[in-house]
Amino acid sequence: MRSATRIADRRGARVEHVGELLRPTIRAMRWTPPLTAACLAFVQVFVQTRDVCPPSAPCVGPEVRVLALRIAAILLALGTSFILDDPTEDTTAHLPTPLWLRRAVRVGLAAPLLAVTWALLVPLAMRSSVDPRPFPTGALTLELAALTIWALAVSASSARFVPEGMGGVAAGPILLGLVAAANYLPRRMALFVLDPQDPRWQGAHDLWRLVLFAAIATLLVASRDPGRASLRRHPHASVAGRPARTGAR
Amino acid sequence: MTGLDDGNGGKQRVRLQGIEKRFLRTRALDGVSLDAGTGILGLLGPNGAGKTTLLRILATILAPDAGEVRLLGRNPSRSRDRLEIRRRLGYMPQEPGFHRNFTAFEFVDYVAILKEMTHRPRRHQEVRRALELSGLESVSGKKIRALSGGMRRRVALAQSLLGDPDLLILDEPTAGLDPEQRLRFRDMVSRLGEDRTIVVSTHQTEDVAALCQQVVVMNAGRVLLTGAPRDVAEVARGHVWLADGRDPRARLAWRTAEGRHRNIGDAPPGAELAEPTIEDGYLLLVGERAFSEAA
Repeated sequence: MRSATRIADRRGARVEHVGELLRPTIRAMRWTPPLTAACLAFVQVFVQTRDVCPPSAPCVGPEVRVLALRIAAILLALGTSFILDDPTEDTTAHLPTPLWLRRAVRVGLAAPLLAVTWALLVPLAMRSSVDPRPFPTGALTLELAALTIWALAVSASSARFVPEGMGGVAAGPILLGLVAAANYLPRRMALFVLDPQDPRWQGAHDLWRLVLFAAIATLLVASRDPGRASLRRHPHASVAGRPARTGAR
Repeated sequence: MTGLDDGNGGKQRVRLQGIEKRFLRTRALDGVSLDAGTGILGLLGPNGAGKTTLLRILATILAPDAGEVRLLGRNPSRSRDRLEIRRRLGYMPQEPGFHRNFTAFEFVDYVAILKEMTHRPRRHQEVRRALELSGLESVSGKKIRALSGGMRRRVALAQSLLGDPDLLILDEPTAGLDPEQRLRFRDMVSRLGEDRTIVVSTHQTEDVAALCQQVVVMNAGRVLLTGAPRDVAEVARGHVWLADGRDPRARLAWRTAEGRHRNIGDAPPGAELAEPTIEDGYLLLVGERAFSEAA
């Protein structure tokens, strides 16, 4: 059977490999948290943006819609953080399929669910809007991406310290802590600006871009092969071993 | 030991020189060196001796802070070499994790995919072979959550056998197995060890005595002794004696089936010395820690 283990070097074999991984990975992933988060996001956006006032004098302004979608983004990020949970991570760490690829498959499987949910949430939030000004959907999508990738990065980083590789359990409180901490940033560095007409809006979303890049970098670092880290620090390290007793006599 | 070519013309499939590993302030491995060729190498040591850390380094999932590692003639610090080693490696961790909604077959099949076996019919054939070797053919369709602890360990063993690995690393493989399962395991590992290198960590000195051609006794991250099982037993020669009662000079003593007491420690002059076992030697080597664990 050894010939069956040497196929990844063939051209196109990686695609075949990923194709075979899809079905068991779908079954292995924890879908309940992201689906629950999506449901909560729908309810939250629906309730918060429901406008009972007449169209000539709407009670729900763009700030409320921004807040509703921002809370939805946090909920979706929290739910998505569980998709990397893998109780077999330690058992399968010695296998040739790299950790980054396994995680990429999981992210790739969850991404359509997240995209569809968001694509439905935005019109839900905008359903009663009569404001002629353009709504900053792109900027809020950037926030969603940054929050989600941070959640994944925290989950990936904490997976090896949490029993059974359940990094998502640790990611939730950490992400909420980061969001809470972001609210205490100085005014000029504020991330969560509510009014799209606020002069700080553009600056805030330049910061969000940096946050997104930092999240991607953290996720990539956390998904490196654990077998290589220390040797990179000591590429030529060699310490003479203490002599062991050989035999007993 | 017969020894097989490691792919680079040598017979040593595992070569460690001066391995050190720290976790924050804890020194898990302190200058560990060992060589292993074809056959079964047993790692003996109390909890916290560094056995699991050493096995994780051998399984290429942990890198040492210092020292040189050669596995199957390759250097695992190079990513291409590490990939080649992983293709020829089987590893059963001490506490294996599972997807419990998978059946035994599905789980081993999933691991086979991660082992780059993408040709489905051949892969399924290999999965069936691994399950059969582990004695799981009758429960291969059962969900893992419905299996007993011993059965789950056999599923973990089955995944480690996929692809007929040249280097097999087993961390406490007999923990939780009943006596019959342990004997079956010995039989299987003994056969597998005829043409490959197997490194087994265990607390069971009987398993080491029965299976291993080479033993490494570790304590506090250091290698205390490397040799054959009889070399471990020889450490206790002259330190084991039989008496009608528990000798107060003994560090450890127990009543045998014959009704006499087997004492271990510094034997008094004129004591009726007994033939030492590997367990006696291990207890004397590892010292107070093992005595307190055994007591």
